[in-house]
Amino acid sequence: MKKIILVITAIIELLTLKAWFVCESFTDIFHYSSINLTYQLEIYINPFKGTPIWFIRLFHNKFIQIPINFLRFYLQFWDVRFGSIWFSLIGYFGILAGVYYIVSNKKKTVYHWLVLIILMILPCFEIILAPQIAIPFKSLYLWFPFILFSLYGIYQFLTHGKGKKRLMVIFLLLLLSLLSIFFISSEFSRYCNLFPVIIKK
Amino acid sequence: MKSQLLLLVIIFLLGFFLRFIDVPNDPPGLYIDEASIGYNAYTILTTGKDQYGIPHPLWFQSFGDYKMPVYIYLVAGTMAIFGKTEFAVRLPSVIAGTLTIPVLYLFLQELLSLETDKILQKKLRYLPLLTSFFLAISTWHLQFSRGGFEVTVGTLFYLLGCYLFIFYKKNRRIKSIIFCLLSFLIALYTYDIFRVLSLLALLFIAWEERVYKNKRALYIIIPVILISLPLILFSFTSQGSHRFFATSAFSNFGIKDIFFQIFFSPLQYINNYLSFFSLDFLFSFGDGIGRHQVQSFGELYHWQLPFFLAGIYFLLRQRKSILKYATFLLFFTTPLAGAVAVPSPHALRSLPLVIPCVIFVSLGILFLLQKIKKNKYKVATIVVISLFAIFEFLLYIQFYYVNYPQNNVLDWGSGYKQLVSTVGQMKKKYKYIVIDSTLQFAPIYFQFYDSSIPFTVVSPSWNESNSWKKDSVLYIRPYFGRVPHDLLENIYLPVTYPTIFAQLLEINK
Repeated sequence: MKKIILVITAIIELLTLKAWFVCESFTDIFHYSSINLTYQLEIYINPFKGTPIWFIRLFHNKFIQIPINFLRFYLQFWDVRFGSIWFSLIGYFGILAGVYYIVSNKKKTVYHWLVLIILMILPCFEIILAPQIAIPFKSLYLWFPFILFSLYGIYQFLTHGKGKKRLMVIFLLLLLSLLSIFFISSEFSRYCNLFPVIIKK
Repeated sequence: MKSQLLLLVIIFLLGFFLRFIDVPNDPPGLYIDEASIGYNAYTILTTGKDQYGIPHPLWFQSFGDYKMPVYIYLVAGTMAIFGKTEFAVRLPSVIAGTLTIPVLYLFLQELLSLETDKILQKKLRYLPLLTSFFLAISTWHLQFSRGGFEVTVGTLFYLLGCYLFIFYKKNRRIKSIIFCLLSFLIALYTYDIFRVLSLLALLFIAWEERVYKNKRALYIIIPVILISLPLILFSFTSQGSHRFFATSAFSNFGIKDIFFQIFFSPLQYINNYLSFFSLDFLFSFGDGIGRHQVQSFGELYHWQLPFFLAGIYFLLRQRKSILKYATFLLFFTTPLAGAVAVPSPHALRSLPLVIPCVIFVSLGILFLLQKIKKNKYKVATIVVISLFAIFEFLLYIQFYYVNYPQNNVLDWGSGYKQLVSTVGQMKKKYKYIVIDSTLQFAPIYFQFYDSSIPFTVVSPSWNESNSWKKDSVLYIRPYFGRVPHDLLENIYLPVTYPTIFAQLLEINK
């Protein structure tokens, strides 16, 4: 039964990814830009006319603002709204479950930590790399490893605790994920630049 | 215990100071709902009627909705002392926001006293104090405690109800349950989201206490139903549901598209609901509405993120803990009401969510400190956390008190205040003051800030009526994309499409 569920989950996750192939690239909400940072800092320091410059620099400088900005972009990736349409609802749930079971495992090995660290680092590539990378290629580092981990999480979820209740939860999530594939395009606008439509004469 | 109480008093005073200082000027000017609340409270106080002449109403007609009565009557009380001022409009919110701090302390004290695991109880003995402190300095709670927002008062009574219910569970005093129900009922009449949250809480209490098995419970159930009935009935009328349909996440789909209605609506609701748990909303961007947040800050501080996650993990690991059930219940039920509306997530419609969030953060810190065995490392960790916390708090204070009043003027009503004050200086020069009805919010600001200015509202097609031609007229209209020859002044207004600023024109010099 667990194997069947995992296969169905993988199929739904693949279908969800396929829906993203209409996008040329991700929007700028994931990507760091130094121009934006400069502009942001200018807005922040404008109200301080007449204040000593050292005081303003103490709070508003690139050393502080870059990590804050980086965290913002990073959190965009882990945003449940994005996760539930990029990995599908069941996929996102699987990732969370996977993290929980690894962290709560009392016999953690170095491999467990390695997996967690890799998963934590991967979204950083998206923040630093150029946004133009095509979705199929992007999926190799931003989707595939997470989906494998998600399947691990779902497997762990099903093997722990009360079987029937957990099966119900997974079935419900599968159903919702399947349904959301039909409506996924309505959620795209925040994250995806569609391919330009070329009208042939 | 004495030292805890002393610290609580200090936290309470800090919370009050942060909420109270310069509150009439920062946020800059009353926003439209505050002006409407203020004017209605003033008319109630002076005439016993609302702005439309209805005596002591239970619902107050406002712009696009009907307002709940509790906050308006509270403002009427503060206005009796402090007059028709911005301070009086915001004071109930300041007081409610400050009082929420000790109520949260008591709520957590009671929850911990009900814990069966005595080791856990001992481990978490500083939880109430730490959580109250984080609420006192919370950006989310401060933002709404400093404006005339009904939700702050609602949150106080909602939490008070939760506390009294836990208190009742412990000592079974009938007084406790009566005051508990009363608190939920007051919250019910305070702000829209509590129509759902308070009702859910009341149903939960009924189920938890198995009132269906107890005939004596009828003496309590009947008055509760009678008190909440007007609101329930009102909610089904067109006026009562107007706000729901105006902001509903489901109202933009045509009825014809039944497939969409059946399948998409639940998904839309789930999506909205989940958005309230988005880390991006909680720690980074907030809801993006300038009135609800300070630029560059989310609803919680950035440094709290790891502790927030650690706190959730810590609670998930507990077995049969009342703290776990209560916190997760608050966490998962609060967005239920806000998720039906757009935009989602919405900081205002989910303010009670700040309670479980600060509990998670405090738990995360305590959890981490318990993991560290050596005292010197513990002290070092506390110093490092404090440094981050103090730095970000100072950054926030500086953003809120210096940048916010300047950068977010357009999110509040200081433009309208300036408009009224400018017209007030000019009024003697003109026989008539005419306001274009496109500036739909202007009249309420005139009534609130200076009711001695006589004005007439005209339609946008008004074309300098013949009868007025001989007299000098001050004509106030929205910006039409050109600078007319008779322009006296431009005044920037809050961003309310399509009006960006008002033009003061002089007709018949």
